Amino acid sequence: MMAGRVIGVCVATQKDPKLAGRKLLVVEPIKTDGTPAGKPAIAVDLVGAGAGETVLLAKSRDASLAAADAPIDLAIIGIADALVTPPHQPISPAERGFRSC
Amino acid sequence: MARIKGHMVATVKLPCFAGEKLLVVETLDQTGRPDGAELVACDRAGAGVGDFVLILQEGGSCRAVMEKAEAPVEALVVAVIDRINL
Repeated sequence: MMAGRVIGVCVATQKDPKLAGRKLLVVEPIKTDGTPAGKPAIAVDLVGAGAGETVLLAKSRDASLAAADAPIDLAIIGIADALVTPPHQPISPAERGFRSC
Repeated sequence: MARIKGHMVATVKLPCFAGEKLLVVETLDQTGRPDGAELVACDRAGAGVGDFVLILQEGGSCRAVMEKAEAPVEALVVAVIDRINL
């Protein structure tokens, strides 16, 4: 799963019957700092997300599972109210017990 | 192997995710440094921000662990790493 941002809407009249009634949105995967983490893609909306919202995305088989095996490669499965990343002191791997011989 | 970077607050989500804690994790390379990728995982280990954790990144296995056959879960935090000796 990953975080993404809704940046547009996709309209498709002719589509697989299993996609009938599903909203297609253009989403851009993002990191917690809001920067893009990949190329924009079309996702099927399962929760009622809107433009500009931060969403939770599921890919491939996991996405299609959420919609009764519809042919879906990317699905919006949640709307994120916030991505909380508290400031923290960077901990070096050595301090945490990562050691190499 | 990954490190917890934060968490996602999501009120509206699929019913199968009700009550699940969603953690933002950054994956690490073999030296324990972030490799640039981030993903969202459900928590099964009680992990918190800054913890080094083990993540399960296979949907079928995650569903088996969560005992939710229809949950579209892709990643699960299954353990908190105390120490690694190489």
